[in-house]
Amino acid sequence: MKAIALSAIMTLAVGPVLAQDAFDWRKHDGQTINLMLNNTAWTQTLRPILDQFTEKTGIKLRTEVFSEEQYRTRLNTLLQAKSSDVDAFMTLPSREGPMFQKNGWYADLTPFLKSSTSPDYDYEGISKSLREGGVFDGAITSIPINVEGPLFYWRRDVFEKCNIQKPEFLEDLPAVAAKIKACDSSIYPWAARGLRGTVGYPLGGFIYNSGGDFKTPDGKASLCIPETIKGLQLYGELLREYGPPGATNHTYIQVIDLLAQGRVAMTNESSGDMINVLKRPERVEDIGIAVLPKGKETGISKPIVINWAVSVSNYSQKKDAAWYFLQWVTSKEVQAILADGGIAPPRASVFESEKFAKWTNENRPRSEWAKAIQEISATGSPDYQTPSLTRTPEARDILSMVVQQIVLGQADAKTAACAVTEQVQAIQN
Amino acid sequence: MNDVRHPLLVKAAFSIGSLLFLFPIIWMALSSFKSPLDVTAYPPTLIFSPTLENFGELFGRTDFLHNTWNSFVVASGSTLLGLLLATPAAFAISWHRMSWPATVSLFARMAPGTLFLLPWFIMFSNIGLSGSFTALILAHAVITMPLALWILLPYFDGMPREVVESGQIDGCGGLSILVRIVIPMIYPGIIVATIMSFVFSWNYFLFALALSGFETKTAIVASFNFIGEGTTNWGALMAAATVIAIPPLVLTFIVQRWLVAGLSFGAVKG
Amino acid sequence: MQDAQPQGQTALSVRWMIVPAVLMTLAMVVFPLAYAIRLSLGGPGGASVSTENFQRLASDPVFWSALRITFGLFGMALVMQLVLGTALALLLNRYDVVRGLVRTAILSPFMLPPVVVGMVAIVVLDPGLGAANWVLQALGLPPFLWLASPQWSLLVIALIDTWQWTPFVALIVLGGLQSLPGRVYEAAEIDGAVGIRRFWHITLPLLGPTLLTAAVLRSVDLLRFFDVIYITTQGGPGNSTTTLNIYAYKLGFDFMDVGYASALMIALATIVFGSVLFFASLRRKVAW
Repeated sequence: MKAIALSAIMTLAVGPVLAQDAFDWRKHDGQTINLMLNNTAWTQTLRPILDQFTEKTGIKLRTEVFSEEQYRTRLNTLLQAKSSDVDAFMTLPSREGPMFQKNGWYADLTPFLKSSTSPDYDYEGISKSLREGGVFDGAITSIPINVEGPLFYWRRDVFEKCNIQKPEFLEDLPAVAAKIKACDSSIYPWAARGLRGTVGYPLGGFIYNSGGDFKTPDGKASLCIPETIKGLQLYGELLREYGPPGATNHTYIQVIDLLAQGRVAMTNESSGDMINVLKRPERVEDIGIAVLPKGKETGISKPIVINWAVSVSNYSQKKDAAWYFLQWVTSKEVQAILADGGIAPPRASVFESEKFAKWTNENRPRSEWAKAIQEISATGSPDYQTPSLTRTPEARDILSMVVQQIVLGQADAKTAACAVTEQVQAIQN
Repeated sequence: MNDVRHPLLVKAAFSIGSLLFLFPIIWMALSSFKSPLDVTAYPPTLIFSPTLENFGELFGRTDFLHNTWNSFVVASGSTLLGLLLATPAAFAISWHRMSWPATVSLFARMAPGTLFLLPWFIMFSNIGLSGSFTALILAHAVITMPLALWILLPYFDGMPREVVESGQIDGCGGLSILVRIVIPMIYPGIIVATIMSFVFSWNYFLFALALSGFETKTAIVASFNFIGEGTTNWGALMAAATVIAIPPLVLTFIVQRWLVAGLSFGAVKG
Repeated sequence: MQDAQPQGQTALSVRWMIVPAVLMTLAMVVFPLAYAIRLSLGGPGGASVSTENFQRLASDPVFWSALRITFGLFGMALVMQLVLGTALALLLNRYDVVRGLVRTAILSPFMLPPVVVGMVAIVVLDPGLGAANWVLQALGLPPFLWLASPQWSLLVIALIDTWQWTPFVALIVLGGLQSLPGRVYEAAEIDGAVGIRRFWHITLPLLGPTLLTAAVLRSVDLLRFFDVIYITTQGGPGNSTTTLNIYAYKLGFDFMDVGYASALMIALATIVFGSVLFFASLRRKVAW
């Protein structure tokens, strides 16, 4: 009798407590969290709507935005000093994920996901391959905020004028470039990155489509693989023969500038810059966007696809509040808003939504862009340097040096690629 | 040295020469009035319709005015601190013909700035000064103090000892000799040291990048906001750069007339 | 200070005046230096003390290349700046009519943050997009690679730095010129020394201490050259503009190899220290 009464009382007592566990957006009303963001297209599109977060949750945001190099300097300083000055920050898992995790800088989001998440968040709705990029040893360290990759931008009008077809295969590019050069001397046939540390991103597709890889079949890091050398040679020669002068100092800034100004006919550059290219009205008419042409002999099309993500600092004193920001900014609603600004969402539901379809169908480049992104999400890979768990930036640096040598004519592809085998294997950990 | 025969010709030559010399600065200032897409246009547009949109972006949509004020506070503070420490030290070093303190004071400028970022951040965080003006001023004083010291040394060296000794005869102590006799004599050196210290501190971004907080972010760190993936807003960047360049220029203009020929101790030596 | 006849009274002692400056320096410098030393001796493992990082430095070809590049840049830039700076100071001193706006304008390049200079350089010197080559072409000259040339990029960097800092040197030398004792010139004129001979045999030696001050102040910055390269070439093409400081930054902040980076930074600090000692001892010799 007593037992039943007791358990009844217990149930009554526990009942309201369970009800209290229901999700409340305003749980951290009045708190302030510090946000550190890299100045990418995503950040620029997000900034105008940040107050919506504060309206919804009552959490105030102190946002710091920096360009990438300065962002890294400041973020690394704060994290190394174990400072509680930063609560949430942007991160690039393909570059620094394992390194940051090894240093213990990411907070594990799994417990927050379980107990502190809005019921309509839908974590699984985010593309699986992108999600997994932020999971290390079962710990969820970041949530994807976009999907991006290099796309083949080409000038339809120049091709038409010179009576050339869009190249079907990767190996056709030099011939096409030569034709353009002969036909129209006022435009550079090709432009791409050459600046140290940045080259891997547009180069990766060249290597994979040529049948190459960044490691030998038995898993050892290497560039000294015949097909890889083919890809390196193709990229380097294209830039050397048909690229603008000074390409070894060019990163996306110059390449996109040239493309937007109409001074280059083809390039392989980030999808994230589509909006900026289209800022010039002429480009809306004459730009074509596609996935990098596949390899002729191999038939392979394996482009590069990456994503930026947001994380909570392990040294933050307001992890839960920071998590609220993360789930808000990666929610379906916010991603839909950002998609209108040209940010490709990592949620299939948003990507395939009517609203997004309407936006992408507004002009031809946009719809081509959306199609291309869907394709690279399915077929792409985020690895564009020799494998290394925690020394990825160094691997990217070494790769850039090899390419620069080819572009400058200082060494042929085979010599340059094979000379660094020892180096890249030394940093493979 | 006033026997110039053709002053007008000289002025003209200098004016043309300085225009050529200043081309990058002129380019920067002009670019701040161009719309962002026009800044990197080729061929470079010499004739264009000026716009104030960059400055609008700068002062309207960002916190730049506040950042500029912060720069001013930090630069003034560190210049003041640097001079306060350096002037007596230069006097002592020169008078006693010591050499090691001058070298020691340069220690902080021998190591790469990046060496200090992390330890200072930890240091200031631990005493609760992270992101404060105090931290920034102290960090920048590490730059201004040795600079002021080394600039002042030749001026102190060039002063005749009799002047100091005559002050001693009058019964003055070291400090009052310094303040009442020596400084008035070498004030051009003080002026040069002040300008240099202010400018160096004003332009230094590395320490502020790591040590500044939300409220204390300096202008030059803020100007990096305009470089970014997707769009480097060259227009706003050049506008920021132009605004940043103005205070040092104005300062120089005001004080350069004190850098005149003939200093007073030429008279003492006779 | 100049010597007067020895006096019979007690000499003035103001040694205590150096204390605040020295204290401040030590307070701000000791902890970071100790921290860096600890990191550099920590070895890749982290706990044990070893000189592994320093040994690695000795056998690292990039280190030696960076050393060469740093000294190359230092030598080129310092010589250019001292020579041109003195020339400019002489001009400004002689032609008093040049004052006001023109003088301010001439002195203005070093007022710009090096970072801004770098940004202007990226655009203006870009071989395809920039005004520099447009001017060259307008003059009928072939276009130049500027910062994209593996052979010449270092010289271009040195030229950019010289453009910026020559006025700084000129300002210091100007101060020195104006404090030169008048009587020496009077005596020289009586002896018939004028023009170039006067400059070479009288002015220049008297400017010794001033020039060495300028050399010391430029050296500490030139040997640690960073800003413009950081913004423009990131050390490239290849390694042609990778100075010691750039290399240290890459190691510490890009590759996160903090122990090794600290060892490199300490090596760099030692090199700068050595150079300052060298110039300081020279200064004592030419003091008058």
